Parts: sequence; C-alpha cells; structure tokens
Amino acid sequence: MDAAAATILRASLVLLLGSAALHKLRDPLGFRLTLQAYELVPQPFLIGAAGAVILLELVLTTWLASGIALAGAGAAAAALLLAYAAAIGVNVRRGRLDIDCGCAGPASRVPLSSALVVRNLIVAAAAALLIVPTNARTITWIDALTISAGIASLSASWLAAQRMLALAPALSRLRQA
Amino acid sequence: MTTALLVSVVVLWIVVLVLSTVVFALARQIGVLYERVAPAGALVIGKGPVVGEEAPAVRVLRLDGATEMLGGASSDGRSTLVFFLSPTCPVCKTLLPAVRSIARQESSWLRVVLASDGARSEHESFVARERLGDFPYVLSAQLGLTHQVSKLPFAILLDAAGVLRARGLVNTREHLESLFEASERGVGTIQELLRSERERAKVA
Repeated sequence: MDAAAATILRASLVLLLGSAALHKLRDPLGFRLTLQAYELVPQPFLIGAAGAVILLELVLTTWLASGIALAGAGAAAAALLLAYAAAIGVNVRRGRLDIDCGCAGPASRVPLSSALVVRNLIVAAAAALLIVPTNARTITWIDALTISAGIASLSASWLAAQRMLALAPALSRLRQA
Repeated sequence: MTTALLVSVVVLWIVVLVLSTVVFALARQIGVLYERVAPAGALVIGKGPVVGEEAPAVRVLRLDGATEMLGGASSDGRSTLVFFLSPTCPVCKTLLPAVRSIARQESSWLRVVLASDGARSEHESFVARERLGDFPYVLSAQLGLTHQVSKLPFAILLDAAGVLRARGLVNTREHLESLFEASERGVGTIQELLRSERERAKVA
C-alpha cells in the first residue's frame, strides 16, 4: 500500500483507539456498567475484563503510533474492532437496542443498532489493510496535504456519523409522532 | 499536465475539508433542533379542578345579557372549550384566528366560549373591534377563580357530561390543539403524558 494512504489510516486509527481509551479511562465505572449491560462477561470477571479492554486499546494506540511491525498492529486492531462488532451484533440480535454502545464516551449515548455493526466492520476492514506491506517512498508536500487533509476530513465525518447515530432513535420517534 | 493534476488535487482537498466541516456542523445542528422541537403542550399551572373529574358548574353572565351554566351536562351534547382572554392581552389576540378556525372546523362536537371579566364597556368595544360577535362571550370573575386562571390566555376543555378533559396555559395554536390531543389520549396534559412516558422508559 502507498505510504501516504497507510499514514492516513494509521493516524486515524491512533485517534480512534486513543480517544476510545481516553473516554473509558475518564469514566471507568461507566465503562464497567456498559460492559455489564452487554451481558457477555460473567460478573466476577467484569473488573478484569474492563481493565483488559482499556489496556488493549492503549497498547494498540502506542503500537500503531510507533509504526513498528505495522502489519501486526493492523491485524490486532482489526481483531479488536471485529470483537466489538461481534459484541454489538450479539446484543442487537438479542433485541437489546436500548443499551449504550459505549463507543462515544460518557458525554453522548449511542444506542446499539445494526448500523453500528456495519460501521465497526468497515473500520476493521480498513485496519486490516495495514497488513498489506507499505512501499516506502519520499513524502513530498502534496503528500503532506493529502495526509493532513485526509485525517481532518475523516475525523469530521466520523464525528458527524457518531452524532447521527446518537440522534437516530430520537429522530425516528419524532417521525412517528 | 502534472501541474494541472496537482492544482486539481489541492482544490479537491480544500473542497472535501469544507464539505466535511459542513456535514459535521449540520449533524450538530440537527441535535440542537431536535431539542427545540421536542413536543410541547399547554402548560398547566397552579391547582384547580382535577382533569377527569366533573368541573364545578358556574352560573355566568353573557355579554348579550343572558345567563348560562358553564359546567354540568351540556344541553346539545357538545363539548365546550372555554378560552379565557382579556382585551389587554396581546397573545390572546394572536390566538383569535386559531380559536375561530377551531370553532368552525370542530363545530359538530365543540362549542367555543370566550371568557373574561372586568368592565362591560371595554369588552363590548373589544368584541366589536375583533368581530367576536359569533361567540358566546361571558363575563365572570367566579369562573376564572373556580378554574384558577392566573395567566392568560388559558383554556379548559369540558366534555358533554361536564367532565374537565384538559386545561392549561395556551400560547400558541399548537398548545390549544394539544388540549384536544390530551383529551383524546385520556391524559390531563401533554406534560403528564410525557412524564408518564419518561417514567415508563426509566422502568424499562
């Protein structure tokens, strides 16, 4: 894969996983409750599992940022995101659309939906692209523009999508009214 | 050729950045809008007769000199909307077209009565000015006291049996219509409905 594209991908994943870990660290109790609501981890392991998820996200963030053994980092990130997609998917199948997904931090509640599963699958696929070896080349000014603008527009679109997902149930209620 | 491509890429990136910023701003504004348009209904203030119970009947004097009983079973089997207003209340005036159209459209089951109190001459010129001659217009301080009307415009809805169906402060046509909605749904006010829905959501 081209170096510029790989950099955009890597930086976006760092931002994504880093902010996710930060949200969970800022509100550890909230994250534990979210995990409990998913009903996938037995009660005695809850605290350990919550800690492990946060640690995993932090390790992956630093790994991706360091750029060492990028293929491995990409694969690990993809696996984590697939696990999230599976956890959400299981609960969507159970019909539990009212619990918080825990992806947006304590400030905004994003209820579970199949759209969230699709979103996670897309991000996991993007992370898996990092497994493809990067061909090194000199980064020119136009690459710098591509990278910075790419990261900025991906972040803005991500935040916009996040907001729309959070609003979706309220808006569908409004449509029915 | 290369220069043209470079320029095109730079311009395209700028456009993409602007577009994604706009999309983000729009998504935020939808949230703000949603909060603003969340259902609002006629506000219920103070105490007064309880919705769902028979409203106390009050003998009132109409502007045309006749007296009638407001409350109790109605003689023609229609419900009664009592709209409390005053010649000096600007919001009441803006609601008059809504009251007029409701009275016209719902006349099969609804009788609209305007109610106020104070000096008779003032109301007579008000009725002439606003062409309210078609409405029964009653002057009664007792009626306002009975229904605890402290702010205007206020409205109450009595069904054919004289049972109070809805009451509240009405500032817009939507508030006025919310009284009918509240009555149809069997709750006193939209606020009550929202509260019970919120509590149900909390339990679930």
